[in-house]
Amino acid sequence: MIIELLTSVGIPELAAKFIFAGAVGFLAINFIAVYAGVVSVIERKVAAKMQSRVGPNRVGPGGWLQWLADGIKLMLKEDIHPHGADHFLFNMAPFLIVCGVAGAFAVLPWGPAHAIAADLNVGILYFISITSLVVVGILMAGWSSNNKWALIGGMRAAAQIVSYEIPVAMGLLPAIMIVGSLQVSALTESQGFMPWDWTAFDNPFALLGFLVFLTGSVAESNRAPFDLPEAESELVAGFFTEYSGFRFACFTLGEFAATWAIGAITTAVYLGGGQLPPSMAGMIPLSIGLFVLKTMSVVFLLMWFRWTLPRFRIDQMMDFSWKYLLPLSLVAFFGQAIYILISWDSPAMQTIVSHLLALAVLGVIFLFAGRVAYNIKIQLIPINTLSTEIGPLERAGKIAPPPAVVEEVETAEEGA
Amino acid sequence: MGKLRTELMTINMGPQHPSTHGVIRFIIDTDGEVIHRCEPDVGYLHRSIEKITEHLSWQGIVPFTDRVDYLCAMNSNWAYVMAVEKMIAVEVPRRAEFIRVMVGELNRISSHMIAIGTTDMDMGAFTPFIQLLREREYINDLLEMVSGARLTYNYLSIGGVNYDIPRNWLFKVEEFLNHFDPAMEQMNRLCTYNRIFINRMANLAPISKELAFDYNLVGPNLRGSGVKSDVRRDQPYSVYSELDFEIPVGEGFGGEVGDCYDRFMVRILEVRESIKILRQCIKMMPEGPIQAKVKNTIKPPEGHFYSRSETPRGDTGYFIESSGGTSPYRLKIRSGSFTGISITPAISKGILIADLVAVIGSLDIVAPELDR
Amino acid sequence: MSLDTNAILERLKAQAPALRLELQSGAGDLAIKAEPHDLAELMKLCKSDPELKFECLASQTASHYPKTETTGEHFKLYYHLLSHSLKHQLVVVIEALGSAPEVDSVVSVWNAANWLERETWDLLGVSFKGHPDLRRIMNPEDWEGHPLRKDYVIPTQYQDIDNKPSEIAESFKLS
Repeated sequence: MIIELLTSVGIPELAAKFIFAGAVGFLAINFIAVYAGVVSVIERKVAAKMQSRVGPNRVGPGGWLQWLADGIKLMLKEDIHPHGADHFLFNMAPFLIVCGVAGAFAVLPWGPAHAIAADLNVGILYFISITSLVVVGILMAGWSSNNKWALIGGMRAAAQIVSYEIPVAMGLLPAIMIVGSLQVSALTESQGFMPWDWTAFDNPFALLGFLVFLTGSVAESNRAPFDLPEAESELVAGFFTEYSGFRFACFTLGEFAATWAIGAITTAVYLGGGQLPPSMAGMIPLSIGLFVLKTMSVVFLLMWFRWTLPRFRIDQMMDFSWKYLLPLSLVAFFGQAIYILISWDSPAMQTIVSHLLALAVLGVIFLFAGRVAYNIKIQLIPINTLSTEIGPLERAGKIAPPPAVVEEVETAEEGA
Repeated sequence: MGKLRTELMTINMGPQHPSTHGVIRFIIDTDGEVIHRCEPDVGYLHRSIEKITEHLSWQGIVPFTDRVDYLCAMNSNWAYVMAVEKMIAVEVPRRAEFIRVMVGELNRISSHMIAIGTTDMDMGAFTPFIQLLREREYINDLLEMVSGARLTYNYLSIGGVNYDIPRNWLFKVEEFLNHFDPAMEQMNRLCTYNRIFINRMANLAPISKELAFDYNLVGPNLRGSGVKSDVRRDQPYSVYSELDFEIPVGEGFGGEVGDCYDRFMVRILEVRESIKILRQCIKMMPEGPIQAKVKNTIKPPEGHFYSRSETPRGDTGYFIESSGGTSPYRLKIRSGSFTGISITPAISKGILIADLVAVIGSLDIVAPELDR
Repeated sequence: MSLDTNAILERLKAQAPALRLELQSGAGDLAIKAEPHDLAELMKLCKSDPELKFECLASQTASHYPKTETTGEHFKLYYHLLSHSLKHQLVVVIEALGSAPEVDSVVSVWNAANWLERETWDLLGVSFKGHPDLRRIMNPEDWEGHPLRKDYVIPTQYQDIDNKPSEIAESFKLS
């Protein structure tokens, strides 16, 4: 649309395409920078809430500008190269990681199904492959740092990301089979506003695929409980042990940007994207708002995982991928195929299954919420209350008044 | 294709590594991530307390015992003053004994909080650690009420305690216990019973009974191997013989008897027993004096004395040799961390780097106590 | 059944009449005094005897006695044994003569002795025959002297680090 506008005022088509690509890239990179900053503050606030702390509260109103201070500080820091490091690879690694994550933003939707920078007809395939670029960056960072901890971290990351690539891709297959397309816009468009219209709750196998995909994505983005490559208590800081200043900021940027990418693709493929009810069709701001809300819910879920669960061990992590997630994703894949065969010409069955499934999931969420409420109640048992102060206890007769203090002032005066 | 030439990689874990709990260095030879040899290198926190004490008066040593193990300074105080009281044969008043038991058990809880919390943190779960630190803050408040300090208390004196407890202190303790009991259970649900956590800890580096005896493990580490041994029961000191409490031992809660999870669980169960002891003490606390009459200049008889007491790190031995003077001729502190870390080379062959972190955490090693 | 020190001494004498053991009584703990060359055999017996069963070496330490008019320079070594199964304990005292004595190591009996003997060697300079790895443990490898000896002079310099006592410290010094 914009390209057509530009060519109509006399700009050559190739130049117009470059202008458009440049503008979109500029917007995407700026969005990543701002989003990563803001979400880092959100994550710290969420973590603080979970741990009965206050969290960042100094810079700006309520500490919400902390990310600006952090960013400026990191940019002003000295860029340290360790002795004996491979300079070329060491310099390149962080940017390669950012490239890998930023590249994924080309196929992410932004609300309405067609609001995608480049609506490729193999969008999902592109997403899966471009995010794999990250592993090259991590391996380069680990190898070039000339640090044994970093090397171990890099090796762990390579093993981890390569293994989880498969369940992630397989986890998306049920959705692709239901819709019959690899195009992100088509995948979104086939869903509706209500939960039972979402692909995730279409049938049990789609739900299984959704869970496998989400779990695998957490592992692929190196977040807890799969944060082995950067396990701070084992490997100091993993593959970015030796990085400082802006290059360090790039790693953080990439990590936080990956949360958005995961959230957005999950929302678009499985959780109904920015689809509105038919009566409100065409209200673009509302659609964008809904999409951002769903994406941030997924991001919040990732934070929740991170601050609750302990870390896997390397062999258990590999076991989890090859022995559990991969068979499960195969079950989802074949199950989905069989389900499609059975329910091909009975829309009634499809409706009943999806409604029941959505209701069941809602029920589980309610039970979980009850559990959370119980936990919060325990936290609220009071301590250091007024009832254990000396005054009220004395008045209630529970402790005896103190023995009378002998007045020594008079004797002192007499002596004088 | 010819055979690849491979060699072991030597890594220095520490002295400034996030999970060595202080300043300890492990020299590990690894094949990939599998440890072939692990050798602890200690002494970074050696402050020669044993040498310093040879120039101090008997009362002047008490603040130094705070620094021997700062996570349970009350118990360290207690271990030392008990040794001196044994030498000069002083009868400690009953109220002072109960106060000592109470502050000792409170400090045991707070020390186990750190042990449990740091193990959780080494396993990658950060939240339980912070939550347990918050509970520990309440204990610090309570101990501050009696002693005026939050970490190194210098509260116990030879022949009693330095100050009487505030009048509302017992109510405060009870209020804390009412809050803490369910909070601890909640913490267990959050991390202790977590499947990932159990998989990490269970069947890892099991220590058999014989091996534990051979390396003289003490306290929770020994009880984790299934040995029912507790100085509070074997040689009852203070008023422990009147109190009703169990000695938890490792029963293979997650897998084998004596693995890391057993040692971890024993600490969790001990916290429950400490709560039980505290509740009894609140009911039984007598009135009376808090300090026996002790001369200002203590001159114990000539001879050597070995006194054992149960601190959170286990059976801590204070060996004192006196030449009849105003300061010890030789004072030796045999601490639980010292034997705990000496066993690591024997049990860490063939485990992963991530497991070594769990082993150190489960042995509850405190560097200052180890090096003294 | 737990035994007291007297009963343990009886038992030891009955089992190994060749050992020269005597009861050392005083104001402190009761102890069994043994000769240095009997040490290894005595310890093996203490561990293996079914009525003693000392599975643990609870503590091992020494103290230094410099040369006086009446006695020569000597060290007293203390071994604290502990039995978890029979709930009794024992103190064994050894007197080793000389300024750098050498006694038998008991690492072959209890592994716990490994680090304890290293510590005694590091801090007091008593060396142990047959110890697998007798190195310094608390002090740096290149440290000179053994700090817990009574005649130890605190060095004023270590690897270009000035360690002279400050004026304030001097003013507080006990006379």
